Amino acid sequence: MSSTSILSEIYLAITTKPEILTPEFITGLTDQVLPLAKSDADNKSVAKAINDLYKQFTKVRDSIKALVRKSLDDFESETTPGHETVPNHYPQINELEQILKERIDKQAQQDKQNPAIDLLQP
Amino acid sequence: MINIDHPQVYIYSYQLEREILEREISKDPSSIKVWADKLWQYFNQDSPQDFNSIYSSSELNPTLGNPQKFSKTTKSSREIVGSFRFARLDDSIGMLTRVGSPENHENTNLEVTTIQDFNPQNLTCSPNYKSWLGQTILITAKIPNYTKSDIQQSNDQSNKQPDKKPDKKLQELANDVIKNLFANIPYPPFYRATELFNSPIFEYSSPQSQLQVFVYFLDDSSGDQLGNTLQPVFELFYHRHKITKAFLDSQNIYSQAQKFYECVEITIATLEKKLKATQDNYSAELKDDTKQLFQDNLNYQRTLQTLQKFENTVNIHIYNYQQKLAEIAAKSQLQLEDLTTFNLFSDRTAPYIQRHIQADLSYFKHGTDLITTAIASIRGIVEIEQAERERENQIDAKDKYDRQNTADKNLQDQIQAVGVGIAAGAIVSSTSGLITQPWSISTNKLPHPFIIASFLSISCSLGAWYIAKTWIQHKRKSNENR
Repeated sequence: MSSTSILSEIYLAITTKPEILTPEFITGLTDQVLPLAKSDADNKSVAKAINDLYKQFTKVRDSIKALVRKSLDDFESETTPGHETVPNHYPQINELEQILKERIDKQAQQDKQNPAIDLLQP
Repeated sequence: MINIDHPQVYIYSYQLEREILEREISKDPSSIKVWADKLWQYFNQDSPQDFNSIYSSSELNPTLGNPQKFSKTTKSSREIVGSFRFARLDDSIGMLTRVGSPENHENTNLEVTTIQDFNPQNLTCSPNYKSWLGQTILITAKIPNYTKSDIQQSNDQSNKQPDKKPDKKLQELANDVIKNLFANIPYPPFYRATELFNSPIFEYSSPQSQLQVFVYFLDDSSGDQLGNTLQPVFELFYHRHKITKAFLDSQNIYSQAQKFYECVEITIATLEKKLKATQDNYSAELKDDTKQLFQDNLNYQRTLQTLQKFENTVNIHIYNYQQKLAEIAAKSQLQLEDLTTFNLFSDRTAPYIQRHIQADLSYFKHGTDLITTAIASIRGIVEIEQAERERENQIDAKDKYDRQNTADKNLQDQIQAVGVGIAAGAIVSSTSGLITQPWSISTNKLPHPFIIASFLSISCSLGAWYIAKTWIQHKRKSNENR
């Protein structure tokens, strides 16, 4: 996750759901993250400080991450035993289509050459 | 106007692997890989890798691989992120492509028009989906000012109505989302509104369309459920497209087989005319037409076989679809009846497709009977004609034999007459010397010596003739009896 995304996470938690932040976590934020954020330190350094804090407060971290919408990229693809499918190979039709087309075209050409003869008439 | 949070466009695309390989060489845009390559080139600003290298490095398994991510900042400084995930399903390659806004605070409360950025130059929504097995586009978004209770209340109210119309505001929003994504290109018509994992979902498609579009207004809970059922949903869409594509291809074969059948009818009608006309070169033409009919019969059987293969494909994938549906229900702890969005296809559309192909097959089975009867009739006619020819030959041979026999008899008569002539001549010549002999007194009672000599010669000749004749007749009879 990019450094700006982590900053956005904390911002979202503070502005929308401050109740999920425990007093200890807030203390950690004010003591470890705020000084860095105030300084000229780059976003990467601030993000690293937040990540360090996350490691100490994993429950709060999970609650904050749950606030953020996930995309399907964040999910593992898993198969469930007992729901296997039957393999099947799709029919090859190109050659058949070609043969039918040739025969139809041949007949059309013959009909063109003998337009007056309607063979289907009794 | 309702705004949206974190809109995402998920594109589920499937193509037969053999078609990908065939088309990739010529950079044919109808190859799913060529399409994905263009999308990667447009959206990928950070990764130095090209699409082919990320595709080659991905292990193609039945389960979706890890996402190969890309990102791009638009001219309006908006960040667009996305990814590609690949899987090999039977004989096909499946791709799950994501194009959307990063899941951060900046991308909340967005106007629907921002979705336009996800389909630049119509790169995302490829018009080539008809050359693939099919494509499902799932557009997801969260509605910030429209809480779940609002939706629930709205749905409850609408469900009380007899026609169960979906919430008008949400329907309009879904329409706007679609219009903005497919800005300048045609999109499928609205099909139905249902609920998936208790969140409203709008489907734009038709039962037989290769392009299926969903607009899904999810929340955290339904988003999680969609994520937890990632693989079965991915496979479910695959089986849906295989069924639809098999049906469309069977219809194509059916319409060609119909035209082909008309050709066969013309060949049979031509044969009938020729049989009536009995022209000079009739037998040669009959041979050519029969050859053509045999060839047609072979191709007709192959056509029928292919239709049967499609029927089999449809049946297998309907079973597979139901398996995936059961897996989704099990994973999301729901009943099958709760998955209306997906189970309508297996309950209504799939049985219709099955019945349709069965009807096509039974129609063409009559055609096989016609060709078989025509060939049997020609065989019968040829056999009758052959028998007639043999009878004529027998009569000719008998006539010839009789003529020969008469000629032989004439020759025999001639030989006999000549024999008699020669014998008479010999008698006369041998006895002619006695004509001048005087009649003796002592022997006056006897006839003249010439008369006696002639009588004895003739008697001997007749005796010899009788013996020879009896011997020849005996020999002929014994030859005939042999």
